[in-house]
Parts: sequence; structure tokens; C-alpha cells
Amino acid sequence: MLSTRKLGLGLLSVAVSAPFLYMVSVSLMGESELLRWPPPLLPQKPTFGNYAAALAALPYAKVFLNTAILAGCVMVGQVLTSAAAGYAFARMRFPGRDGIFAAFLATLMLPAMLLVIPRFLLVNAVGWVDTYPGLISTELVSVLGIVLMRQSFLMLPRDVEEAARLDGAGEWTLFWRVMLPLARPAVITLALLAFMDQWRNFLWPLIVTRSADMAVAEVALAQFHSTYSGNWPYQMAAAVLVTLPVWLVCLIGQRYLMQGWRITGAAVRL
Amino acid sequence: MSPRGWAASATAAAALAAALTLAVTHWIERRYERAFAFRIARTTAAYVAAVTPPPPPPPPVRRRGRIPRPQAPITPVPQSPASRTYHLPSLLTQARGLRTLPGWTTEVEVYYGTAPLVDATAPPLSPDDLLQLDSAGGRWREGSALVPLKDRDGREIVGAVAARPLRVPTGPLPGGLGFAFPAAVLAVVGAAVIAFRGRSLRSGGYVGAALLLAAASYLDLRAVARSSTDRWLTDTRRLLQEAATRLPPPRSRVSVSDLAALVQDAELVAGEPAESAPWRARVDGAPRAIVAVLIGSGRWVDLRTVPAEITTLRWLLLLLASALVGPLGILLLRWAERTPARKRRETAIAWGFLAPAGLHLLVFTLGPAALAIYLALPLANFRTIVHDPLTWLSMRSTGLYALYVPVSVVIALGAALLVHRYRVGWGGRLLRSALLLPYVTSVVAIALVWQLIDQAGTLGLGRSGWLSSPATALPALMLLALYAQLGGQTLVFLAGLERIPRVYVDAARVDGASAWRRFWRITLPLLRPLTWFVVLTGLLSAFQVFTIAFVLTQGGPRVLVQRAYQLAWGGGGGSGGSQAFGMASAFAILLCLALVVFSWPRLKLLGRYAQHA
Repeated sequence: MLSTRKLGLGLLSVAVSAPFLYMVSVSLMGESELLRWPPPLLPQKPTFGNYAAALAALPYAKVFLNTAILAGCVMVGQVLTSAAAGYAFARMRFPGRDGIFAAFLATLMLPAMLLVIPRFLLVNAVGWVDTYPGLISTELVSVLGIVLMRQSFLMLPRDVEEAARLDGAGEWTLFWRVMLPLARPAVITLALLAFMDQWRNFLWPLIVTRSADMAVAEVALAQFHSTYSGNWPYQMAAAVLVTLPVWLVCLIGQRYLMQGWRITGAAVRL
Repeated sequence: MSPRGWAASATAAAALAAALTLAVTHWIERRYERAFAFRIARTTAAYVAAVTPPPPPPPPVRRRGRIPRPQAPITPVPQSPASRTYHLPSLLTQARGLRTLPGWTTEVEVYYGTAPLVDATAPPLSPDDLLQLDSAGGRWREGSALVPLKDRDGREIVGAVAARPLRVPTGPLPGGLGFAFPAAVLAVVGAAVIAFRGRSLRSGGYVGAALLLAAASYLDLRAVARSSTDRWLTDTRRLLQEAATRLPPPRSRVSVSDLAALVQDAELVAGEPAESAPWRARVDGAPRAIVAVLIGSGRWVDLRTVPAEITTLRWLLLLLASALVGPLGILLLRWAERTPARKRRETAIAWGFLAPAGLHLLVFTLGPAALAIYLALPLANFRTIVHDPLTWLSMRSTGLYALYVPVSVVIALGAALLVHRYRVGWGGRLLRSALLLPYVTSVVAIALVWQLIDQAGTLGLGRSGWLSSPATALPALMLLALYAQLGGQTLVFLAGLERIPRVYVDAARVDGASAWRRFWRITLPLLRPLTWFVVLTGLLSAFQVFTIAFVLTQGGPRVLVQRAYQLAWGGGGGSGGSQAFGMASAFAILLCLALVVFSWPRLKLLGRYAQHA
């Protein structure tokens, strides 16, 4: 009885991940295999030739580097700014605190499309189009990240703070050495969310980058799709390559990633 | 701080704010004056180029013999450049004539090469000035607008036209001080009186005076913008009347199209006799400034242009902000005076912690939002968007697309209830990992797999080709979105279910409540805020769908963001002009307002969550 349940869960998992398994399977096929009828589910003779070719044609090293720089910088930036702001909102008292927090929240009502054009003009005016600063600078602060960090700092007990103060810790030491390490789960959650979000960022890189040298994962994959349309095994190999880093990171950090469910609502930016 | 000291600093703050507002007003007024100067300089250059004849042909070269001797050097014969330039004496006459036109309001100077023609004692241009004109097309030089004077074919620059705008007095006071200056004086004096008498500023009406200052500055600004259009119209009217008599013969009746070539950024249409002053009217629903021009016996034309004052509204925000610096500064002073040092210190530190995020939001979110409003004005853009059938088409397809959200939420909730029991064991963990996959995968990759399944016909679907047919592309996109969102939503509901204390459910079970009843009476009410949150977030994301539609359905159902992208950057991705950005911004603002229906309740839910815990 128990084992059939487990089997059922296993089968359900396979069904949910079927498109991804199929993606991997097709990426191992020869170019003409899909032309047969009915189309095969598994490759007749698995080959890694598509991967070797896609690595060179994408060009994967450059795309990986660009996306890693984007996601890495944004990750660090969002964690630092959100932690600092969340800390101020959660643990300090100053006039106008709640009003400012409400104003921060209110910016969430502005849809990305509204901001994209003026942000582009701004970046263009500074001469940052098609550069890393242009790609990264607009994404460095996340209001949802501030909410997340604020909640996390709110949960920390007052005793810790008072004990540290008695030991003579200044404001900065208190934040950097005491409170931030205690909020580590939220920091990891935010870092993962930021990483995942930026690895899949499409609209802003599409607008602000021009040259192939600056292409990030999603844009490069879409470009690859239009260049090699029809050659599915080739495209699937590129898709697997582009997705692999974010898959690995998120599966490892699964537990932390899902901690953010309260603020993300699990909506994918499709 | 002593009362007097406080009052003095309050007055200083008020004076600073007033000075700032006046400076901002002056700067914006200069912008309009410069725009006018450039415009009239261009019109003048076009006028001079049209009415000045070419130089007379050079006298024929006499040759001694019919056959030139072989050893004689071949002299280069002057080629066409000479005939493309101007007859210098006529150019001189035309340029001098500009000064004597009755009713002419601008100081103009025409340069032939670098030499001034109108005022011969004026300093000449430097050769660099002309060279820079070549690349820039017009620039600001020593208080006047300098634009190139091209040769008759419009190829090479042979000179320049400079126009210096003369200030037109505005406002009721003598000396043309305008409204803003007296209002500023009033605000500063008001603040000083209130502060030195020790009254509260809240009761004193200083805020009102500051707002009055902003309003007065705006009035001045509008007057300057309006007069810049009026002056261009009256000056251009003079030029057109001159041109009608001076355009080179043979021509008994000057044609309207020849004159229209002189005023390229305005319209010239046949009109009725009218007075010489410009007036405002609506033409085809758009505001226009018009002046009647007499171009021959009984022949009248209307010169129409976009009035500059319709663009002034966008500056009001800036004026309000600078005028309110005063009250805010005084408030800050008041607060600093009353607060103990320890609290001041804590506030300063808190602001330090907030500064990175706050400044970033200011520069990259609030600033751009204000810029978007600025770009979207004038209001005519909104009218065009609302009347554009493509807007409603994209709205309709996106609205239909968003219908998948309730379906996916219901399925996700059901799935979460089913899976919830199997928290432990490898089966449950495997399923959770599988559910995570679509949540974390590259969106373009998901879209590509979808297209592959659609085209290759795997999974027994046949080669459906749904995505490529316009009628079925939308349902196919919805299916894709349903699949992509389902995993993450299920995981969120699982997390929500895990937070429900088991005692509630157990107690109900002991009381003999059926599973169905337990769900409706306990689980669902406890999950309700979360469900709403997931639905609203899902709807917001659905209305902003872009990537999958952009990658999969080129030319298929246009969704909202795709339409905005198309408005701004065209279909391909070339750079858009300011007009395109204005339209796209207007579109995005309307979208933002429409989405308030969803984003406001979502914000409330987020805020409620932030208040708990």
C-alpha cells in the first residue's frame, strides 16, 4: 500500500517534469531523428555532439560570464541594500519610518513596462547602453527583498541587541557582526531569489544590450532560437546549457528558495 | 537654539526655497526662449536662402587661340560651388532688411562665412564655430542661437544665422518682473513674520504662500512659453509676407507650397482674412496656435503650429517640489530644535542605513516614473492611445490570457492538498523537486520546449501547430503559462498548509467533521489571504506577460507589454524617437492605472503581512 503511494508520487514527479526530460532527451538526438513519424521520445543513439556545437555557437563562455556577472552583482547589491534598509525599518525608531516604508511598498505598484523606457533614457544619457553598469545598475534594489529582510530582523530578540550594546558594540558592528549573521536564512533566500530572477531576466537586457558580446542567457537563447530554428536537438542542447546553472543552484538551495513564498507569491515572470 | 536664531534660520530656509524656485523658473523660461531662438533662426536661414539669388555667371574666359598651346598650365575652371552660393550684395540687402521689418521682435545676425552682415562692426565668428555647426546642426553661442546657413542646394555651409531672443516683460508689475518675483518676496516676508513672532508655521499659512509661489512661477512660465510661440508666429508671418514679394521671378503668384518649404515644423494652409495677432484654436481635436498671413492681393493663408504652452504642465511638478523645499526645511529645523541629541543621532544613522536603497529608488524608480509622466504629456498622447484599436486588441487578448490564473490556482490548491500528506520520504521530496523545476527554469527554454512539442508532435498530440496559427496561439500560450506557474503555486500552497496548526484539523476530526467540511470550514478560511495573494500576483504577472509571447508568437496575439515595446522601439528593436517614447509611456501609464485594481489589494496583503510577525 505504502509503496504504491510512493510509486504514484514518483510517477507524478515524472509527469510534472516530462517537458524537461524531453528537453534533455531531444538534446541528445541526431538532427534528423525528429523527422521520423511518430517522433521518438528517446534518442536512438545518444550523442553529445549538439552540446559541443552549442557551446561554441552560443558562445557559451561569454554568455555564462555575462549572466554570472549580472546575477552575481545584483545578488550582492540586493542583499546589501535590502539588509541595510530592512534593518533600519525593523530595529530603529525615527520620524517618518512607517510613511517611508509605505512609500517603498507603493513603488511595487509601478509595472516594469512603465519604468523600462525612462530607465533606458537615463542609462542612455549616462552612456551606459550595452555595458555592464547599464545592465546591472537598475536592478540593485529590491523592495520585496527589503520586506523580507525587515521581517527577518523583526523576529530577532531584543536581548541580543542589548547584550551587544552592553559589550560596547557600535551601530555598524551591531548590524554587521551581530544582526546580519543571525538573519542568515533570509539573506540566503534573498540571494537565491535575486540570482534566479536575474538569470531569467529578459526584457531589460533585451532593451539595454545591443552587441552579441553583452548577451545574457535568455536573450542569447532567444537569439539562438531564431538563428537555428528547425534544428531542435541543437536548440535543446543550448536550452539545457543555459538553464543548468540556475537549476543546480536552485535545487541545492530549494529549502531556502521556498522560504520566500510569502513575498513572491510564486509568480514566474513569463 | 535661541528663538531669534531659530527664526533667522527659518527665514533663511524660506529665502533659499524662494531663490531655488525663481532659479528653476528662470532656467525653464530660458529653455523656451532658446527653443524659440533656434526656431526663428532656422526660419530666417530658410528665408534668406530662398529669397537671395545666385551670383551672376562669371564673365566668359577669353582665349587667344582656338587651340591651346600644349605647355600652357590648365587653369581650373570654377565649378558649380560658386553658382550654388549667393549673390553677396543681395544677401547683404536681405540681411539688413530683416532689421527694418515692422513688428520684428528678434535680434538677428546673418554671417557670410564668418563675417557679420547686419551689424558690420560686430565681432566675426571664429572658423571653429562654423566647423562645429557642421556636426551639431545648431548650437548656443554667447546668448544667441547659431544655426548654419547652407548653400542653395542645402549641401555646404556657407555662413550662419544667429538669433538672440529679447526678453518680453510679463506680469502686472512695472519692469516685467512677472508674478513669481512678488510671490517669492511675499513668501519670504511671510515666513519671517511668522517665525519672528514665534507663531506655528502650520497656522501661519506659510505653506499656502509657498504653493502660491509655485503657482505664480507656473503662470510666468506659461506666459513665456505662450509668448515664444506668438513671437515665432508674428515674426514668421512678417518673413512669409516678405518672401511672397521677394521670391525670385518669374512668378506672378507665389505658390503656397514654396512658402511652406520655409516653415518645415509648421503647417501652411489656405485661410480667411483675420487680424495680425495670433490666436489659439483646436484643429482636428489638437490644439494649435494660428496666425493669418496675407501673401498676395486677397490671398490669405493660415500659419499653424503646436503651441509651446501645452508642454508647460510637465514642469509644474518640479516647481512644486522646489517651492516646498522651504516648508520641509523649516519642518526639519523645528524637529531638530525639539528633539534630544540621542534621538537625532539615531535618526541620522537610520537614514544612513536607508540611503543606498532610498537613493536608488529615487534615481531608478521614482525619477523614471516622473520622467514617464513627463514623456507621456501632452494629453493628446493619451487620447491617441485610447482611440487606437490596437490598444483594445492587446487588452482583450491579455485579458483572455489572464483567465488561466484562477484555473491554475484552483489546480495548485487541489494538488497541494493531495501532496500535503506525503511530506517525508523520497517520493515527496522528489515531487517537490519536480514541482520546483518549472518555477526555476529559464522562461525562454520552457517556451522552446513548448514549441518543440507543438511542432514535432510528441506525446501523441500530433503536429498540431497551435502556436503558429493566430486562432489557437492564445490558448496554447495559456496552457504554457498554466504549466509554468503551476509548480511554484503548488509549492507555495504546500508551505501555507504546513503553517496551519495540526490541532485545528485534529480537533475537527475528533468532532466528526468530514474531510470536505474540514477543508471548507478550516483549511480554506485559514488559507484565504494566501490564496488571494497568489491569485493577485498571478494576475499581475499575467497582465505583464512578455517573454513567451515575444519569443513564440511574432505577429500573433499582441499582449500589452508587447504592444508597448512595439510603440517604443518598433517591431525590430531599432531606437525609438521621443514621440515613440511618449506614446509608449502614455500606454504604460494607462496600463499602470488599469492594474491598480490588482496591485492595490496585493499591496494591502503585503502590508498586512509586514505588520504581523
